[in-house]
Amino acid sequence: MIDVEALVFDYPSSRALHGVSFVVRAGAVLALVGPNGAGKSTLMRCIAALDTPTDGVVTVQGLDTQVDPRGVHAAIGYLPDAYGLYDALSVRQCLIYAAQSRGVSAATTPAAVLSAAAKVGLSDRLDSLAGHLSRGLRQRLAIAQTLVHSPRVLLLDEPASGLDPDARSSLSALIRSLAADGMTLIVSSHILSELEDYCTEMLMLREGQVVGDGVVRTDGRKAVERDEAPEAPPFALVRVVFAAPVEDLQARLAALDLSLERLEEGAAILRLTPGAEAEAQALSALVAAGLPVSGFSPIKPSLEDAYRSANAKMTEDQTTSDQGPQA
Amino acid sequence: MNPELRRHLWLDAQPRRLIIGWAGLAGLFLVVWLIDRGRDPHAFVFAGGLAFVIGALIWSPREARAAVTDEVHARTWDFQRLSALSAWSMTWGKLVGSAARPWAFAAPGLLIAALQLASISSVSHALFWVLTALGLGVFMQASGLAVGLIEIRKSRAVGKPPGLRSAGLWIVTLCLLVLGAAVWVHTHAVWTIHIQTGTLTASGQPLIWWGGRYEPVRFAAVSLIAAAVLGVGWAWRLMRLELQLRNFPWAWALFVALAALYVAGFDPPADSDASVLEHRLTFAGAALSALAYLGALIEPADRVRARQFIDAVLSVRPDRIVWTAPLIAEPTALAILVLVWDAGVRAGDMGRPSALMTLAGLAFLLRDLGVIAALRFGPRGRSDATVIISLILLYVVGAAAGSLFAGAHGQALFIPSLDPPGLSGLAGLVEAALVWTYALWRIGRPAKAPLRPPSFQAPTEKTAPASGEAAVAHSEPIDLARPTGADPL
Repeated sequence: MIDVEALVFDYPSSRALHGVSFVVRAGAVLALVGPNGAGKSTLMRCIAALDTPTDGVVTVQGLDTQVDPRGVHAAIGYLPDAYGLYDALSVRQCLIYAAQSRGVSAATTPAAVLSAAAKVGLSDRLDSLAGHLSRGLRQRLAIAQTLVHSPRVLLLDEPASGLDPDARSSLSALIRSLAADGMTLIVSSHILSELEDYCTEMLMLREGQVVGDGVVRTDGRKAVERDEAPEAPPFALVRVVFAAPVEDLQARLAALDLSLERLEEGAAILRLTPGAEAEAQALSALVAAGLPVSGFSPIKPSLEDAYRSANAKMTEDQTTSDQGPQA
Repeated sequence: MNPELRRHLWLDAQPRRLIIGWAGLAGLFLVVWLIDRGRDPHAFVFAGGLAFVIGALIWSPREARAAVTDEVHARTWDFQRLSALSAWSMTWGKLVGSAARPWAFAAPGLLIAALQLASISSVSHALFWVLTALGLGVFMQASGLAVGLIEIRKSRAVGKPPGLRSAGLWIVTLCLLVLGAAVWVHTHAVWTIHIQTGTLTASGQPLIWWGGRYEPVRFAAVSLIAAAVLGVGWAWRLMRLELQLRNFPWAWALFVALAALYVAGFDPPADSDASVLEHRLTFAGAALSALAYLGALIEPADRVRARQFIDAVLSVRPDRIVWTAPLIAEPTALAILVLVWDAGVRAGDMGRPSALMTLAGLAFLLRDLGVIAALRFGPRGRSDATVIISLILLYVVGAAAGSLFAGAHGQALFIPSLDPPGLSGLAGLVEAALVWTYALWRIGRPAKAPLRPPSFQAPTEKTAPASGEAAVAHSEPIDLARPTGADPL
């Protein structure tokens, strides 16, 4: 769906992107993470065909951003981190303008406007002026404007910035519903936990370079590369909580043929073959061995885990490369 | 309806705003009637003309400029750039939409003035002036939009928002006033008769252009209408660039060549010492030089693109050279050709000093372009006003200082001069070489400070993970906005 290959972008003062390459598959919700100055916004603007890269190729839905920028503009929705609205227009007028300027025909515009307003929960505010909306509602209107023409790709740059917890929760629900409709999304944020709810993959940038293995799934595995078949998940994690301290826990788990991921206070994180059957077998083995199990819950791998993993790999790589010349 | 036009009409053409404009127009005519009391039949022509000047020539270009610069300030410009509208739809939607209110004020004024003029002279005469006024209005409106687009491109290149005031519009207005004054001077007697009798019978000197004899006012009017068409085309090409479309690079070269041919077409006065060829070459050289200065000032100071051009030249890649060539390339190359040719002709006809003076002018053109590049591509990206003032100071203060310390020889180092012959040209070339070397070094060198302002909070030791260090597990969410030591862009 989105293919970025050897992307280089220069500002007069410095190089913002150093040969960035990755692929985002159709239907994915990619979290684009990295510290300030990592190049996230620049990367998004290049994907949106708003800035011309110094080198490299970006294709969106098969359209090259430099060969057919207007085709890309029409095919995507993009919400920059700093956006504006026409405060003197009503919500309905904003959406009509957005729809018709993005090629929606006059005949289908009313339906597109109502659909977009319903998606973001603004159906009852259509005649309110944009300038009279609260920050959360403005954010919803801005998103509605980006999806009123039913794009297949949506780019959201720091969409939750400045929103209160309720508005963030609404935003998460909206992004989940868009993903459920099959839309491909790239969402950037500084706050990993807010991406947790809806992102299926993650790409970490630092100093204009991709960190680690490129696009990784939120379970830490490498995502599908160009022309690769999807790989089966290798393991699942479960947290086992014990009612009382267990002596020699590691040895007892090993005796049960259960592989330990790590120990936490009063609990153990185990690696299992994915699936309910393996979980049931593990639980009965633990109970049969007389271990005081008080809790047993599968763990959904978090984005923070993936981030830590990628960061740790980068640190390891840096250490290796630093030591290389000395050795 | 064009969505961009409709959006403008929603925002600007509200009944209350239009009624206020029409009330102002009625007030203007009322004041003129109270002063004149129907004594002069031209009073309403004057009042209508004044309304047209205010609405179409002063107000409307500013609205056209604001149609893009205000979008940048309101952070809606990227949203518009992402639309599916063609560059042409966006251009005319903005031109017509932004003109709605000013022209609602100007058009009735123009209509009343035309009707009054027709009643006291002739319909054809009134139609001529209406057509001329419309050409002038469209030219100014298109110039306003073009100036706005140039400003946002230039401001983006240096990471700053466009200014609230526009020097570009003042310069366009000034150029038009100079052109109008030139026409008036050329046809002063005829012009007076026109106002008094309302006829276009030419009785003064005709204008000779490429051998043809033309009535000056008609010639200026036709030129103006052609300029209006070119102005709209100019705005459209700039809009294409904003929408990330690539412009055919030869169009600018074609315009430069046509402009040189247009200016070269004016025949020399009967008492001129220069031959027709010398006169044409000098005029063409002056026009090309003016376009080179214009190109140097209006092009964004984009060092990345400039580096790409330099790389293309060094690696001898003609396709890349053509696509990345700066605006000054074509007019400067043509100016060199034309002025060297002019110097050769002058050396044969008028002697060596005249040829050396022409070459000195060329050398100082090259130096000035280098000065503009060095200042605009410098670490702080000097403003146009600073660049122009610096050039003026270089000529005035440099010549004065040179004269003070070394007399005429010293003065010749800073302005084209024939005392002694050849020194000016040589000095200009040396200065051009030095200043261009400095400018190229500036272009290739990274800026001292990031041109995009760093954002977010200052570093805090407590929460700042070192760059490359894995974030440790903690109960609060990981906030990547915390500093990492990475350079902000």
